[in-house]
Amino acid sequence: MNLSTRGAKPAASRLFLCSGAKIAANDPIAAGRKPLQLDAVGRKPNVHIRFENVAKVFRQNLSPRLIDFLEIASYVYSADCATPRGKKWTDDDTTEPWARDLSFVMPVRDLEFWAQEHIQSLIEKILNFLSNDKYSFNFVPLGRDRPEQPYFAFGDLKDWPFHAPNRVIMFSGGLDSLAGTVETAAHGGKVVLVSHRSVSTLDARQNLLFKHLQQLYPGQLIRVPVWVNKAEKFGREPTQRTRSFLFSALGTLVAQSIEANGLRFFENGVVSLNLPLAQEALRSRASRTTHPLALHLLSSLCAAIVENDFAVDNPFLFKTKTEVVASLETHKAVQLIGDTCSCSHSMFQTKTQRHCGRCSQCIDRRVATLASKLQSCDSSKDYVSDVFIGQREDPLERAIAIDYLRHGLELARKPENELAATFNTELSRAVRHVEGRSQAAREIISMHKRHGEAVRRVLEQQLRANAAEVVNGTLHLTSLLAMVTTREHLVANNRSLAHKPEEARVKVENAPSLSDQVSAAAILRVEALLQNIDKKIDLKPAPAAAKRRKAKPNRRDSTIFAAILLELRGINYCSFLKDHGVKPKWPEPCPLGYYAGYRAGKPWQKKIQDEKSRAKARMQNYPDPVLADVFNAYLPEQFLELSGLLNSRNSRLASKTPASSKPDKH
Amino acid sequence: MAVGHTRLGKLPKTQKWLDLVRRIAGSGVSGGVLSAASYVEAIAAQTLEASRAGLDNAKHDSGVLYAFFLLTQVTLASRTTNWEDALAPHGIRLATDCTVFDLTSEIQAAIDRHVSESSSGATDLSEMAQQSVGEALISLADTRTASLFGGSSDEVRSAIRTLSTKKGFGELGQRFFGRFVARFLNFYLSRATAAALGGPRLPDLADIAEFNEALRTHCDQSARIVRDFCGEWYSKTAYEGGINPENSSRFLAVAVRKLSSELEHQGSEACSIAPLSL
Repeated sequence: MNLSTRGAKPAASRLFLCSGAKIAANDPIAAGRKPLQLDAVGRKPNVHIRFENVAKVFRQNLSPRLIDFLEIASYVYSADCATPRGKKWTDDDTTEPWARDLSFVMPVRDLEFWAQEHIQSLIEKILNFLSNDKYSFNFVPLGRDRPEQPYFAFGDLKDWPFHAPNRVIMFSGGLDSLAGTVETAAHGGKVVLVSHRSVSTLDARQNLLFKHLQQLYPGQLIRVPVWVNKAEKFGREPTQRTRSFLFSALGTLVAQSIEANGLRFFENGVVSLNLPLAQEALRSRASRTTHPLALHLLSSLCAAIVENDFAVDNPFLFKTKTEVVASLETHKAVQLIGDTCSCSHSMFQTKTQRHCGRCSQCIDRRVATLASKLQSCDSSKDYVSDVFIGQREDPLERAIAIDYLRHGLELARKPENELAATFNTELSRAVRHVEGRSQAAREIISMHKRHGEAVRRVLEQQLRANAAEVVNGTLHLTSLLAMVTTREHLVANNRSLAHKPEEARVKVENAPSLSDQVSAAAILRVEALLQNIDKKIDLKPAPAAAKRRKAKPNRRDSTIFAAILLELRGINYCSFLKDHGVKPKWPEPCPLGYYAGYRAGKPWQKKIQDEKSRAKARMQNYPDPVLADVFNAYLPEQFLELSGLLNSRNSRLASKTPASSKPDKH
Repeated sequence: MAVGHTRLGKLPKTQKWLDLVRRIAGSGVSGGVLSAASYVEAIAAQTLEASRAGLDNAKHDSGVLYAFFLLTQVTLASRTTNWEDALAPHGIRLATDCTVFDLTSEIQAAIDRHVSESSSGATDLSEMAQQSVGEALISLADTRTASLFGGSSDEVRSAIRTLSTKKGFGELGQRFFGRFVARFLNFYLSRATAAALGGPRLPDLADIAEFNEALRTHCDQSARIVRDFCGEWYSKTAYEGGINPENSSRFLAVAVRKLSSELEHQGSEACSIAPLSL
């Protein structure tokens, strides 16, 4: 392909010199890139790696290549977290900074392996897909011995209590990884959990959750907590799009030690695919941490590293979060819901309130526990701010809440084919390496529709539960429910309700915990609001539907209309039709052709005129491009003249159109 | 460890974007009030004006150019007796029981490969073009096949073949450019519509969905301006010397220019009917 291109300027260009690597000052790799040192050992390490509570046998199974993998992933993750994507838009404020250029000089123990072109290319491909950044690696031999001892804190065990579980599980301490752990343990499986933590506030929560899991499934679980973080002095970029690359490295090390043949992320399919909530959320702005394509690529890399079959998978790909949470009830583990943490701001929350209630993760969690009717296990007191009626000061928090709900409602209402068209790129990537892509795509669409229906159910439930406040306007204006509704609309409905007291009384019998007339009326107004929302979302663009119904004009009508445009009358009109092969469709006995009919007078002249009028009326229903198309097809010799006449006809019409009514396009 | 994060951003705080945000919110409106359709047309034109330099980049963007070029190659392949062979040079592999969805899936993979191998890599514009290729093909094939997710390679080929005529490609081009521009405009607008919720123009949640739909319809309709142009160029170029990356790139640049002029023209018409003052 030879296509002229102009690349977008990266938001940041950095060169990371890792593990004491050095380059010449004039090395071309440093051109235009800001150099930074990263080191995980030594006197002043700025990347911290620590596996806790590992059996002493752990190190025996670690090849130099696996230690390399750990360091590579930790440096990449640290560089990712330390390099801001920037705020300054370019190209006259039309291009948002996003992609960065991150280059690494990385000393490794197994240079022969890492320097292979396909391995480098695979790593770059994985990281590019996860983050949309441009990554490049220059692997060099490790010049001196580096102690890896500081990476491991050994527990009391000499060996693991068991070996060869099916998979090692990446355990975040959220609802999905809990459900996956419970499902695995409930089926009698041995479970090895690997938890990555970057801040200490997460530690106590995960410890408590693990303790409760152990009580539920004694002797079946091992947990390996891992700390990987960077020194504070670097910049901070919160997106952390390469985290699953790091998790894969951590999981692979543990899996190799305990002889598991893969690692597993448990993430519901909606979050795993993470379809863009809004058009601005392009590419990795919507995280691809556990995207099926990312997991496929990570499987290939990990298998190459361990030189054996090795899978990185996600069994919850076709499940919604509501379904995942509901599975905890099946396995009688709902009491653990309260120990989990889903919030993206968890590091800022207190011990008693783990959830901010404002981020998309908190909304998603609350929707799932409400939709699965397990809200009693997810105390509202655990939320700093109520997800539905709490205020949102930050405009971006308001935007994400609105987009989350709108996206959910649209998923519920839009038909399968429309979702397949709108999200074709995302769906195609998700099923690229799946057998039976079409079927898998349908299942994914179906899952999204179920998720949308759960969102709608919960919204309806919350509007009903807070109907009086919604209608009276006593909710904070920045609360989710207040933002969803409109005062004007509700007031308008209020007027109409005044005439329907009977209806209000009937509805109140079914209303949950609301008994007075005012509340019943409020519920009715809320229902009307929901119907209004559905109606607007269901709206289809009229032209597309009309286009399908309307067939192309036929040759006969097109030729008659051409004669009209050419202002042919009488004999000339008849000759024109004859010349273009149009014959009259009169019942016999009749004159032979238009010319003879015209000469014969009544009633044939009237028949000719009637046919002309009907054809003209039919043809005027078609837009000009269609007319031009058929003229081009049926009357190519007169095409130029006819298209000119079409244009001049429009000019004449336009001059007669009053200014207040806008003419039809084209 | 929180996953599933979506990063939303803000428009720059420069005058042109602040003006647009105010207009979307409907604040400062005086004089005549725009109808819903005129409102969308005026907003689209103003967004286009503010983002002109961004759209200009499309004609140099490797991903955008390739996405459109591939659209021409897929439709041309459907004219051949063995379209599987004709598509193979583009890395598109179709099984005998392939579906419309399988075809688009292969096209998406081909674009991903091209973009990842190009020096510029993926960009927001290339992603929009890629999404628009899939959307255009699926939405048009939907009315030409019994199922998007079933059938055979021959059925898919027959459906795509109807898009390989002068008229058919005109329709495909109109849909592609219409959706591309709608996505481009909403890349900026979606940052402002959520913030304008509760205002006079977007009073409730569904009004944002309605606005998005109206914007898409407006762009689809405006793209009629390139329909015949696409059909004629496709037919003529394929017949005369063949469509190649160079001539399709040149064509794309002109088509984008024509469409943006049309959107501006309609925006100014909408404003002339009922002017907005900020």
